[in-house]
Amino acid sequence: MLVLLSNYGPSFVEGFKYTLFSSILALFFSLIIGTFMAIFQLSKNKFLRSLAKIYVEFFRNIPLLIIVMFCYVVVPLYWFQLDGFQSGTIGLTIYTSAFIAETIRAGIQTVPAGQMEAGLSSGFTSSQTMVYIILPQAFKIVIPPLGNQFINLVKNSSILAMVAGMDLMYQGDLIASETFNTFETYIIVGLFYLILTLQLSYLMSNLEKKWAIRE
Amino acid sequence: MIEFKHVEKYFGAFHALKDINLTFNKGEVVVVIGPSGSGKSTMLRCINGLEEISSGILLINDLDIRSKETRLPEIRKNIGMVFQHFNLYPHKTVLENITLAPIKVLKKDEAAAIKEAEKFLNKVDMLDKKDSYPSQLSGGQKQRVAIARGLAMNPQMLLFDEPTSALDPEMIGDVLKVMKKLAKEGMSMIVVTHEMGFASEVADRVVFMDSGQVLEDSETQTFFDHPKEERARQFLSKIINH
Amino acid sequence: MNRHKKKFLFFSLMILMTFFVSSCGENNYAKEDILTRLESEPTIVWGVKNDTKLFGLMNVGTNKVEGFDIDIAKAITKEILGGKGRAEFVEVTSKTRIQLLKNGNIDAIIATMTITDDRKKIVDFSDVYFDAGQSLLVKKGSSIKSVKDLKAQTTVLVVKGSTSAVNIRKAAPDAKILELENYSEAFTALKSGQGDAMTTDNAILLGMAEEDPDYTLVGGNFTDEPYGIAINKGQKPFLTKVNEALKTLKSNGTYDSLYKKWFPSETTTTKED
Repeated sequence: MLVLLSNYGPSFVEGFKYTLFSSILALFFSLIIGTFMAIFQLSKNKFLRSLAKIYVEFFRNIPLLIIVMFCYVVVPLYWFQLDGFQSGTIGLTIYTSAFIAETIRAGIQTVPAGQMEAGLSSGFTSSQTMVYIILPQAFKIVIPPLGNQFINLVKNSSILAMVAGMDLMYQGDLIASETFNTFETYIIVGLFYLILTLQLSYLMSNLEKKWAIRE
Repeated sequence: MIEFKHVEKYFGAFHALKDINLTFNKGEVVVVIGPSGSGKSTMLRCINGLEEISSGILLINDLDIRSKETRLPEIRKNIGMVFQHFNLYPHKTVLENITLAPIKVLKKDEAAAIKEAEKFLNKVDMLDKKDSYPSQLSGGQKQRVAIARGLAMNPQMLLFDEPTSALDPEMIGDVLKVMKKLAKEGMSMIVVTHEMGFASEVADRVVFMDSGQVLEDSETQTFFDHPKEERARQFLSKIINH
Repeated sequence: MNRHKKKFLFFSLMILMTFFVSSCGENNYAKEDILTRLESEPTIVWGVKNDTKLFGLMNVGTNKVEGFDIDIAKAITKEILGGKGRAEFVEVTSKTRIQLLKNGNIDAIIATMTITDDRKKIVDFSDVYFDAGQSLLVKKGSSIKSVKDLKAQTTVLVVKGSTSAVNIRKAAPDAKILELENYSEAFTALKSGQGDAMTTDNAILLGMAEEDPDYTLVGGNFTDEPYGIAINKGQKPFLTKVNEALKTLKSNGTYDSLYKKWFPSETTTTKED
């Protein structure tokens, strides 16, 4: 395993960088899209509500690979060029955001209705109430399930390997087929993923503790 | 400043408010009483648009609340509300609960907002708890903070929706004391409550509601001495003997 | 907290150890002599492709894999075992085939596998059963006419775990190489413009060009990559039998008829090499 690491170290690290970068991008954007979709789902506006419902139900219920393949193969054919890294990251963002939307929607719904009423009564608009009063409470509630989504996201980023996205799994595939040392290669790949996911778990549980102290 | 004209309110098939005609004037303290489910809270919540009226006209400072041009946040800025269950923001400190709306809605600068908030906290006797979180307070303390939060917007009127119903008996006095102080200072108030002592002591008028209707709207003295309606009489005797 | 950390470390180590132990030891299956087994149980298990046109492709209608590799495997099975013999097919990919062979899950690989020195260190190969060479597939009218046109600005698509990637890196060191999961994905990626050319063995590319006439092979073969049947080390008797069978097939005309069946237009190209 050490031999493998010393021979292919730079490849692993290169792949790790792509995985990390893709995960961070997807995490950031899926959180934003997911939050909006959650709010839209609870909106009084019928159009936004159905839009969000369709978005969530559609992307939550098809395999990630299909979304990624669509970005990689169909989008360039008819609209614009997307390389493997971009398609993978976009696919990952869309897919994860559907799950995050559901998580956050559930979180918002556990915030008592009186909070919205209190905000409105103070002269806030409903979107201001959402931002200043409801969402901060909802996020606190959904940190644990959100953490699960984030960890899934990091692991799901291995989908990039399917479209030559240069990520950790892609490099692992190449190294494995070059060395025929499948087991050890994937153990190393697994350890690199652990570095990411364990830190993420740690971060999320810290956040949870930090917020639990207050209140 | 507030006028109900033939207001009706339905929740689905349930007829919650029936032909409500009421006027509330500036500087007045009006207590609304009646049995549970009589529609008094619903009536109160219509005033700041938490409930939409089904028909009729509701004027707030001469603005029709149902008109497309009326912006509810503008109306609500001038009408504070205190809830039965306080509805403090659990993720904010006492001070932040009070300064949030003045800073974000009225665009006050933070230092000024804090200074004002402290003034109101002092008024409700909660200044020493300004850095606590709501979960660290008793019910009575929470309700006094909620009143300070309402005051911080410098509203023309405060609505109280059963402000003492969720409190332990020994806490009620502190909250009522604050409300009486406000009434004496000339704050316009509409109070939905079962506290008859409070009503007889500070109310200018008493409105009695039952089954979605206003059955009596009289001067306080008249109401308690000679209630016109049989149902009001029954209600009073039940409450007072209780 | 500390106790939990220790526990966690301990378990992680245990899991890793299990992996190592299982990766070091080969199971008994793989050590058993295949030829001896065939006497009592006349079934040869072949590792074949299921996604490669003309060689091993799943026919969705019949749910059977069909192709040149399959027919050769069947013919060899018949030669070795006679009429009672049975050929069983296990679908493999470029990534899994060697591992499956080493594990003893399959007796031989006949899956468009090029004979290379590296691979010879790990497995044994039969004589050549197909003279393949690597070529380029491009869209008709492309400015790429041969390997020499693959400059720094061009992207070439290959399949993971195949020798094509290694060869193209040597032949066109400046070109950007993207490695995809399988041939159909690589071809789809080429159609979507994810790459300027696709490279792999000529026979496979011909299958693609046959399917979509917008695409064509250019520049001829730039490598000589004969396909062989891979058999685990330590199975010399079985390997000898396979080679004998291949020889018979070539001399009695079976091979030629199978070849014509699958590559009717291609006879001349291969013969030239």
